[in-house]
Amino acid sequence: MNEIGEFSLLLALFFATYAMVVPVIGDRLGKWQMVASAEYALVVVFGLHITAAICLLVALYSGDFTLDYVYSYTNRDLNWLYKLSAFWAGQKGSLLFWALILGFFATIVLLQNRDRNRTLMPYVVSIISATLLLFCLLTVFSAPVFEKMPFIPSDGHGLNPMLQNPGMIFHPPTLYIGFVAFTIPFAFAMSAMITRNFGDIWIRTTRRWTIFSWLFLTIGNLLGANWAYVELGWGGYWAWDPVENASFMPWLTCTAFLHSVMIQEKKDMLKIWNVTLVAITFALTIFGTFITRSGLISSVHSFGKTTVGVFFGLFLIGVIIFSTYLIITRASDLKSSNELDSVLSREASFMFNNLVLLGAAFAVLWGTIFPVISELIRGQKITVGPPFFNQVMVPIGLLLLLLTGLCPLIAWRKSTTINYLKNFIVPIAITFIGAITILFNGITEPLPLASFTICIFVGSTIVIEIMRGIVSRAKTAEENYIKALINLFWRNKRRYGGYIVHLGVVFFFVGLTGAYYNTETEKTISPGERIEIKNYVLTYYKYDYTKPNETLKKLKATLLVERDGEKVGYVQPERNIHFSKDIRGRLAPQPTSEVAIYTTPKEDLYVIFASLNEDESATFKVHINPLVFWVWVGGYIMGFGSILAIWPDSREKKRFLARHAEA
Amino acid sequence: MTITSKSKRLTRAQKKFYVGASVLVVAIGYLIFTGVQVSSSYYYTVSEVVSMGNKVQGASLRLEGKVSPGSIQADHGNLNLEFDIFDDSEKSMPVVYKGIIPDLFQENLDVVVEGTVGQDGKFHADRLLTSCPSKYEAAAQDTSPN
Repeated sequence: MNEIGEFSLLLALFFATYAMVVPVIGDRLGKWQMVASAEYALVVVFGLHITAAICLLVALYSGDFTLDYVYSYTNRDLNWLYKLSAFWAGQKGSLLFWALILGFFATIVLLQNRDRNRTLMPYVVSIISATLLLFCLLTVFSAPVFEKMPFIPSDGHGLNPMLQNPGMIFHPPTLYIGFVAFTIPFAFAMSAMITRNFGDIWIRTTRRWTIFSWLFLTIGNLLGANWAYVELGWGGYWAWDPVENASFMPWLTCTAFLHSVMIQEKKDMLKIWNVTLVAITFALTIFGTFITRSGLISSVHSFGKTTVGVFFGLFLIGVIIFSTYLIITRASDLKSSNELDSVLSREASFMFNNLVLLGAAFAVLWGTIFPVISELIRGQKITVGPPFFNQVMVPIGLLLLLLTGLCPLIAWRKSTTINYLKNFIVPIAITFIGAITILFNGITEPLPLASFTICIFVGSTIVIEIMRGIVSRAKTAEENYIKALINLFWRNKRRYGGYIVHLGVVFFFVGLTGAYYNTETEKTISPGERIEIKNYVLTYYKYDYTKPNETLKKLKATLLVERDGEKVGYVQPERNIHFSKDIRGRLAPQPTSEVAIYTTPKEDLYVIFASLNEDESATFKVHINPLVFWVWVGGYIMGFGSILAIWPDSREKKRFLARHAEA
Repeated sequence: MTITSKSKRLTRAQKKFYVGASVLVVAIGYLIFTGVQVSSSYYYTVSEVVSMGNKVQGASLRLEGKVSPGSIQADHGNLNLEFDIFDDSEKSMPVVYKGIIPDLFQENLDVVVEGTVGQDGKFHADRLLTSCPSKYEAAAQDTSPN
C-alpha cells in the first residue's frame, strides 16, 4: 500500500511537470491537442494524489507504524477521527493535503471552463501546475510522507493532547482551503496578462473563487482563535504570533482585493492595482506557509527547520519576479481611460478602504518580520510584541469599521454632499441615542466608547438600508414584507450577502471591544472556600481523580458558580496528565489543562485549574471576558453572508454566458 | 492605481484623493514607528546576556533557550516558577516567572522568555512561551498575566 502511495507521488511529479510545460508549447504552436493533453495530465496529478492520500489514510487508520508519520502522530488508543485527521496534523501530511486540494480545485476549474476562456486556459493550467509541482517536489524529496521508520515500534507516539480537540480537526483544512483557493484568481490574472487579455473576464470568472477563498480564510482564522481560547487556556484568543499573522495578512489583502475588483467591473478602473493586489495576496499565502516552515521567524508554532523552507522561499521569489515582470511589461496597456470623478464616490471610498487594509497588512508584516529586518540593518535581532500590534491595529480597525458604514451608501461616480448626508440623518440620530445610553451604563473610556458608537452607527446604516430595500420592493412588487425580504435577498445575493457580512463584522467588533474590560484573578483555596470576581462567587466543592485508561489521568475540580447571589451552575475545569509513548514504549507525562468556560452573551466566565497542591488546596485562575460570544457570532454571520454572496444564481449565469461565450 | 488623467495635470478629484491618501499613509506610518518604540524587545542568546551582565539590566529582553534538567522549582500554589535556561554555549541563567506554569513545561524544552535582568542577576520573565516537544504545528502557550 505504502509503495503504491510513494510511487503515486513520484508519478505525480512527472505529470505536473508535463502539465506545466506542454500547454505553453501547445499554445505557441497552435496545437490544441497538446493543451488538452495537459489538462488531462493535471487531472491525472489529482488522481495520483487521491491515491497517495488513500494509502496514507489507510496507514493512519490501521496504525501502520512502519511509517514515521503514522508513528509520530497516532497511537493505538487514539480515537479514529483523530487518526484520520492526523493526515494534516504534521508537516509532511499537510503538504500532501495542500496538493490534494489544489488538484481538486484545478479539476473543478477545468470543468467550469471547458467551453470558455479557451485563450486563457493553457496558461491557467501551466501556472496551477507550477504550484502543484512545488508540492510534488516537496512530497517526494523534502518531506516524504511515506518515509519509513528504522525499526517497527509497538505503538505510536500519539497525537499531542492539545490537538485532540474538534476545532483542530477543522482549523488546518479550512485555512489550507482558503490559501489554495486563491491560486485560481492568481492563475487567471497572470494568464490574462500573458495573453494580453485586458478586460475583466478574469475577474468575472474568478469572483466566486475569491470570495470562497475569503470565506475559508475567515473561518480558518476564527477556528484557530477559538481553539487557542478553548484549548491553550491562557484566557485570550489572539496573540499576534507570527503564524497567526501569516494567515491574517492574506485575509486582509484578500478583503481589499474583493472590494477593488468591483471598481474594475463597474468603472474599468484600477486594473494595474488589481493584478498587483492578486499577486500580493497569492505571494502572502506562500509567504505565510514559508514563515511557518522555515524557522526564519521564531514562533512557538514553527515546524522546525527543514529544507521545506528553502523550496517555499525559492518559489516565493519566483512568484514575485514572474508577477512583477508581467505587470510592468503590461502596465501601459492596462492603464484605464477612466478617471476618478469625485472624492465623494464609491470608487474613491473603496480605494481608501484598500489603503487602510493594505496599511494594516503592511503593519502586521512589519511587526512579524521585524526581527529579520533589524538584524539585517542593525545586526541586532529585535522583536515587537502584542503592544505594537494592538497600538497600530486598533485605530486602523476602527477606521475600517467606520468606512464599512460610510462606503456602501456612496453612489458610484459622484455623490452630492447633501444627498449623501441625507442618508445618515437617521443612523446618526440612532447612534447619538445609543452613545448616550452606553455612556450612562458605565462605558466612559474613550476607546470602547468610540468602538461601540461606531458599531451602532454602522449597524444602523446597514439595517436601515435593508429596510429601505424591503419597503421599496414590497411596494413595487406588491409583496408583503416577509416575502419582499426573502425575494430581495435571494435576487440580489451578491449585494445583500455583502450587507450580511458587514453586519457580521459589526458584531465581531462588538465582541473584540469587550476585551478592553477583561478582568482576572487567581487564588489558592481549599474545599468550601470561595473566589470572588466582579459579581461572581465561585465556591470550590471538590476534586475527582480518575484514570480512564493507561495514557490519561484526569483531575477534575468542581466549583459552584453564583452570580449576583443566585446559583447559576457548575464549572469543572480539569488538570490532566496525558502520557505519550516514546520509541521504547516508555510513558512520558504531559500535563494539560481543560479550561471550563461558562458563556453568556454578556461575558465568559473562564476558569483554569492551575494546580492541586500537596495540602489538598487548589489554585485557580479566573477570567471574566466580556462579549467574547459576539466574536464567534460575528464570525458565523460573516460566513453565512459570504455563502449567500457566492450562491449560484440562474439569472446571473444567463447574463454571464450571453456576454462571454467563447469558442 | 490607475487614476491618472489624460493630461499631465491632476484633476481636483484626484488631488483631493491623493491628499487624503497621504494623510492616511503618514498616520499609519506614524503608528508603526511609535508602536515599535513602545514594544521592542531585544533578542539575546543566553551566553550574550550572561557575559554582558550589568549592561543589559533594565532593558526589555527576549531569550531563547532550553530548560536545564534538574533546575525546575515549581510552586504551583503560589504560581511561582524558577528554572535555569541554557543554550548551545552551555552557559545558563536563572529565570524567575510568576504565573501559571504552562502545561507543556518540562526539562530540555525549547522556551522563550521575555523580561528584564534584575539586580539579583536573575532573569525576571513577564512572558514565558513554550514550544511543543515534537515538531508539529501547535501550542503557543502564553500563560503570562495580560
